[in-house]
Amino acid sequence: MNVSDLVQRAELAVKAGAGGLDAEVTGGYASDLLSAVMANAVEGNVWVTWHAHPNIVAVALLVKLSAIILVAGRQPEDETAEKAEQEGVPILVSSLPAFELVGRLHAMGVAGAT
Amino acid sequence: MKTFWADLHVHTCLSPCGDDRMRPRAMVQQAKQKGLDLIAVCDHNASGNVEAVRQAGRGEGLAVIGGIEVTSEEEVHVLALFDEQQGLRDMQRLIDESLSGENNPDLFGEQLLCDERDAIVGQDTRLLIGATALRVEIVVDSIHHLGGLAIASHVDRESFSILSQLGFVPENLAIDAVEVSPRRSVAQVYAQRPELKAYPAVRSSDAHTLEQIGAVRTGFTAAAPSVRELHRALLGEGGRAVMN
Amino acid sequence: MILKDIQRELDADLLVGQDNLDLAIEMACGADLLSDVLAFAKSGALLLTGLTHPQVVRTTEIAEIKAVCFVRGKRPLPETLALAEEMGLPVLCTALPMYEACGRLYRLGLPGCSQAGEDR
Ligand SMILES: [Zn+2]
Ligand SMILES: [Zn+2]
Repeated sequence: MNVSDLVQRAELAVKAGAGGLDAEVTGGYASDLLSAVMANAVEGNVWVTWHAHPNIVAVALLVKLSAIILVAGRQPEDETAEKAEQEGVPILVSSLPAFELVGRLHAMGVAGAT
Repeated sequence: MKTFWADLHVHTCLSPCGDDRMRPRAMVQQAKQKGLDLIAVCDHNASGNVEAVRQAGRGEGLAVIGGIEVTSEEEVHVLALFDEQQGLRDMQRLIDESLSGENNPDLFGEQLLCDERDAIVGQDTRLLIGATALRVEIVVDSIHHLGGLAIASHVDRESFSILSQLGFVPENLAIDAVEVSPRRSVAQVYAQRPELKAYPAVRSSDAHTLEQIGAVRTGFTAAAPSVRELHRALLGEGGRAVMN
Repeated sequence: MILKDIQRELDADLLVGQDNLDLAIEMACGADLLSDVLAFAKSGALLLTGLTHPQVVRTTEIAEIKAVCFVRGKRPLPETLALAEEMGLPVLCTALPMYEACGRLYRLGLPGCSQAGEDR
């Protein structure tokens, strides 16, 4: 499954970084602590978070995440969207809170680490 | 007694997110132009440029307080301000022991160490954007133990503030003041979160670029432009006072 | 769903609440930012979080959270546990990361806070 499949099936809005929509999704990681994501998420994961701060893009690049999904209708800050666009890191937005979004992604086959 | 105009939260080019031009002389010049008497240098989890800025400020009559913007385990930002070099050094040691990872300059930005003439003398290779393993109470208690002042950074911001991370200020957290960012006034923040009135407030720029230095400032009337005197002004001791 | 179902599904340790295994849980939310919990969580929910600070327990009291599950193997601080004991707040602890824990519970039929119940 790639990022654009997720966009369609989970009804996500693409806010930036459409250049990266072909990336393969290897699983999911959910956290609002950047340090936890840097330490534990793995390459190709989609990252579910509430953070809209520009640092999320750098973290995504560091871990080589396939996409960032902002929950509860959060919008990326302007600088976040600009950086994501430049780097081709998809920023997607869901209207659902984290628990429900993760539940749906999980049901689609995007698993977490165990 | 005199009134000192202070910007108590400015980064340098040592912070990964700090602009490359945030070097000692340039910063001092900008601060003087903005009419500041005092700046506090607070890089993320680092203090390697404090002395260079202090020396650059010395010739220009700008007081420079040494500080660190510490990231707690919960990713709360807390400013640690010190008069004594020893206090700052010990705080830095505590951070170094509990911060792991290496910076990736291409992603997070370079972490440049300077001399007082703005020349680059090295790089800090640690992952300064990371979080320490110190819970926020330990950060605050350590700052106090080492003789410093603890200010909760940008409490009105929705990331990396005590309110965003922990919902409200834990009752046993002994912060000396809360910092309000340029986008809000102290009155607005107090109106929005009346429980914060229990703490004195300062307003600082959190400058990451030269232009942002002095964008907002805090005045305090006291005997000297020092952390100790600022502390007394926050407490309203002996006719000292803080103005926002 | 009861607490015991959740414990089993997440292979979690029950650190507080041995007497509460039959506690009914109607919904859940997952968050590391307690501001988020205060703003969006609904009364009666289970909170999944990666923060282990005692402030988590204080927040559950304000937000009327029924039980807490600490994720990614983070053991809560002793002070956090003591506070939870004192308040009678059931505490679980799972080695699973937030994502996997939320995913499993949702698929077990536990709704999220936007789907279940009314606002506090
Ligand atoms: Zn900060
Ligand atoms: Zn800062």
